[in-house]
Amino acid sequence: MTTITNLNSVKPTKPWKVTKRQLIPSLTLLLAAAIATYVVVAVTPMKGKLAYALLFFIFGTGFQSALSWSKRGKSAATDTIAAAIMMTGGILVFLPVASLLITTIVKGSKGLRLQIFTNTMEKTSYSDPLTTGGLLHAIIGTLFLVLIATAISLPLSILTALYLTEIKGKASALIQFLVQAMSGVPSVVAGIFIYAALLLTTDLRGSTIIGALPLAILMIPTVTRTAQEVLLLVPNELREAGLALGATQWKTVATIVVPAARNGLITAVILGVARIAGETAPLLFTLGTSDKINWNIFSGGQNALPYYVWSGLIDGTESGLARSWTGILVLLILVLTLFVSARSFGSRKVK
Amino acid sequence: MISAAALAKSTPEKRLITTKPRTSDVIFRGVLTTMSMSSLLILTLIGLFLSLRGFQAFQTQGIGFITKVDWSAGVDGGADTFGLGAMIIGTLLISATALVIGVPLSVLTALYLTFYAPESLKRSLVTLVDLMASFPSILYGLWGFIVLMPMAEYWAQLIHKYLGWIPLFSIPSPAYARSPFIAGLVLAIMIIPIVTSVSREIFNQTPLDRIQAAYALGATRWAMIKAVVLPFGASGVVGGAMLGLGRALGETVAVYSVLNIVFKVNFQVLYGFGGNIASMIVGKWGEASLTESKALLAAGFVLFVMTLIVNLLANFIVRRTVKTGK
Amino acid sequence: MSNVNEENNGEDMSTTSPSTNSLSSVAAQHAANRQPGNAPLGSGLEARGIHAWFGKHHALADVSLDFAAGTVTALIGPSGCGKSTFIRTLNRMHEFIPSAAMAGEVLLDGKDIYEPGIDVTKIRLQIGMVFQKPNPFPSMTIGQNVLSGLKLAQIKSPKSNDDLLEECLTRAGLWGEVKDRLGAHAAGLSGGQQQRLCIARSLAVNPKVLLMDEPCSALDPGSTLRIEDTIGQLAKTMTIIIVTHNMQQAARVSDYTAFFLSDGGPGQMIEVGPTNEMFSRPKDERTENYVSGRFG
Repeated sequence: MTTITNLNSVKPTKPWKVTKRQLIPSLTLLLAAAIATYVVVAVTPMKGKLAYALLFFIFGTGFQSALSWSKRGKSAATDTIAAAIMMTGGILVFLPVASLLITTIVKGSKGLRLQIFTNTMEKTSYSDPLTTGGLLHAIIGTLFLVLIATAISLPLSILTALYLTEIKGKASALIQFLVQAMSGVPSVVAGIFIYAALLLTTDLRGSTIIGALPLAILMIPTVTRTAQEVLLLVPNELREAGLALGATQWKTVATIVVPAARNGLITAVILGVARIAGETAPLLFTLGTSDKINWNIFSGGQNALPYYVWSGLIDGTESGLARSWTGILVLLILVLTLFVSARSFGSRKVK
Repeated sequence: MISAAALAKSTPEKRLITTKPRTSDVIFRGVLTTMSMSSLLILTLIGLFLSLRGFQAFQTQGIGFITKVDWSAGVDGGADTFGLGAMIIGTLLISATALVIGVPLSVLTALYLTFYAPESLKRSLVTLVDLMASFPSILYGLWGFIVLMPMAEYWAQLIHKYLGWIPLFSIPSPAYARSPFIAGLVLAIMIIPIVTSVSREIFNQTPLDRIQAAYALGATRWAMIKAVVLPFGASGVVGGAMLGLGRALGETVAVYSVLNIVFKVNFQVLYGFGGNIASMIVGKWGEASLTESKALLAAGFVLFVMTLIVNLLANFIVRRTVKTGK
Repeated sequence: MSNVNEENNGEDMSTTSPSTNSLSSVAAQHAANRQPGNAPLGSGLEARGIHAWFGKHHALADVSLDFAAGTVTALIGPSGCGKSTFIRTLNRMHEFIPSAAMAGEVLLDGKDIYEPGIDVTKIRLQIGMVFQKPNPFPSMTIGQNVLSGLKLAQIKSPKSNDDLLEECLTRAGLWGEVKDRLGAHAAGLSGGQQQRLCIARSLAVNPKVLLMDEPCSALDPGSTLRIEDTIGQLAKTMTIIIVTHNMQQAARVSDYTAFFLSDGGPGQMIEVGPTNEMFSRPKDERTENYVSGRFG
């Protein structure tokens, strides 16, 4: 039997890892593929970025799989082609994401000045040069809408989630089904529903509070689903401990379960807000727009970040579009901040 | 030891265990149950209000509401024709384009993330995909209009050049801008995060013992995927694709931004006009008379039913794959 | 280290319990019945100085074993001392765990299977594996399952499909039960039948070595005995290495037995020898304690 000191002198290795040396043939082939691409482009009428990309893919994959075939046989060649396709698919998917982010940052930062956070469009029109005007009213409007929508949807969502996880009554299957169904309602349908219900046959006109209603409808499924997931993560032992102490179910839930899931519930709300902050369509039917901040949430129009972007797009002038990009940039920063904070809340340990 | 028969004889009846719940708990249950019913209430109300308020349109148009392809508000007191047919076809055409482009890309990405991506990259790439899902649709609309359009037009020209003999890809005149193809392309990018997410979850749950069996037989990575992962995950991917479809059916602002909305039938996906129900509602809303508004509500009802069915079917399929682990 | 048995002149009465006696008699009977194998020369497997890690955790230390062609070797020992890890280093399945690392060499026909640049899928064709839980492919029929190895590796067998099916299923002891329903789905078979199907599947690619990781622990006694029969038949043409918790099984089927043990640190191979000697006259005290049931 070997002694302890001998055992520790052997070092762990991973002989299956592809070494740099082994990569050399592949890299050489890729180089050859690049050369072949240039040659073909020069010689044939194929032109343009698409031609380069396509040819490089074909030559690169072709050469590599030929090498695999010669060294290891047919199935290795298929494997190489498959791997190449997977990687290309991945790149194709991430290109738009990169483009979306980069375009937004580049185009949006043109109109980004400190003043846009303090001015409104009260005295400016969208086609005016970018040195005037701002989107403060849009930010405030989005804030109002989000707050009202959250105030309405939060209680409903949390209580529904609690029903599903704590009471698990006979209606659970039905309610689960309904929450799922609600998550598929398109935003435009939510908007025209509120219109049909409240505005079509009455004297009511669109207002901030009415505009928040379809947003609440869109928010409920997201918050409910996430809340349900985090409530299920609370260990049953905690509930049993509370009940064993003689507390009622409601006390147990209120004082033990909900605080334990607190971080997760915050995540749920944040995700819900992220979902609705960028919604445009519902507002078109339930809320008039406005060039300034409207402190009256019960009457009159209101602007919001997506609305602001939309108006700039409709305007179509260079300034208008530039404003749209800036609005989108601000909206994107807002959504990304929410996204990141939701993640950080979600990963914090339950106390 | 007591014999089984004697045991059966001497075992007493089971006691009924009851408890009288405290009042606060009764109220608690009551409140939760009532509040949970809100989702039932809301969905029912949506269906009700849209169908009732829009009923007039169904009444006057009959089944033609869905099948007829003309939508024209009566001018100067003339008869209205509200036919949703063209927009239904448009909705389906754009959504189908989105699926054909988006689903294969999503599946490839999901396979890449699950089986090919190096550990160090995986986390960031997955986060990136989730991030994509949170982008507002108006961003896609703006980007699609400004950035994607020129490239998409070029691709459409290429497709027409090589495949124009297929009726789907033929066009009466070279108007490539703002076609259903471009709208479908934007929608494809929008649904990729959802479909990739669902597919990735399914692929992650492929039973490890089958994967090991394949590798132990000397399979390469792709051979294993083909033999084990794809059969296992196929129905889950279909479910994910349907979730994507549900999203695509109801998409409004992104389509409105890139598509040239004209309320006529268009099967030629590369030709520069089209529409879907959602963008039609938005487009016609501003100037609609009362009658036309009601017809638009009826159109909204049709859209509501379509997305409801697709979504429920999708969830059912995904749930079933995860459960049975077939 | 005193060797109790040496002092007793090879008599093993005083310190061994009745269970060891019956084990050793079973092992002796197996040794007596053993027909000489006709495995091709040079299909032996040799493990030299194998270490295995999972991240920083040193799971297996310095295991060296020689598996002669045409023999059956049983690996025994308590749970968690690295037997399964070891067997997975023999067909390069260990490396699928992201944190896995190893050291040492495994020689098949004298060539190290861990050499850089080697085609690992070819190795696994030559060193097959049967798992603890039967894992036939549910989306394939019985017939397709058996031939799946060929399809996965895209290789053609010199025999026709039908011949190969019959041969592999017969060798696995399943032909009679399924010959009329080769088109049925594999999921309809019992646990024991599924495991024999998995054995047939492994045989179809004609391996030189067959690794079996507790192949009967999820099965009923009847199926277990049938599979042990199969192992006996298979050993005539290949090398078999079987991990087992069941010492009676080791005594029944194996020619050689290796005993693994961990003292809280990495698992190590304590002793190896002909099975009937391991169970009647083990050289190491710990081996003796284990086979006589004092622990594990």
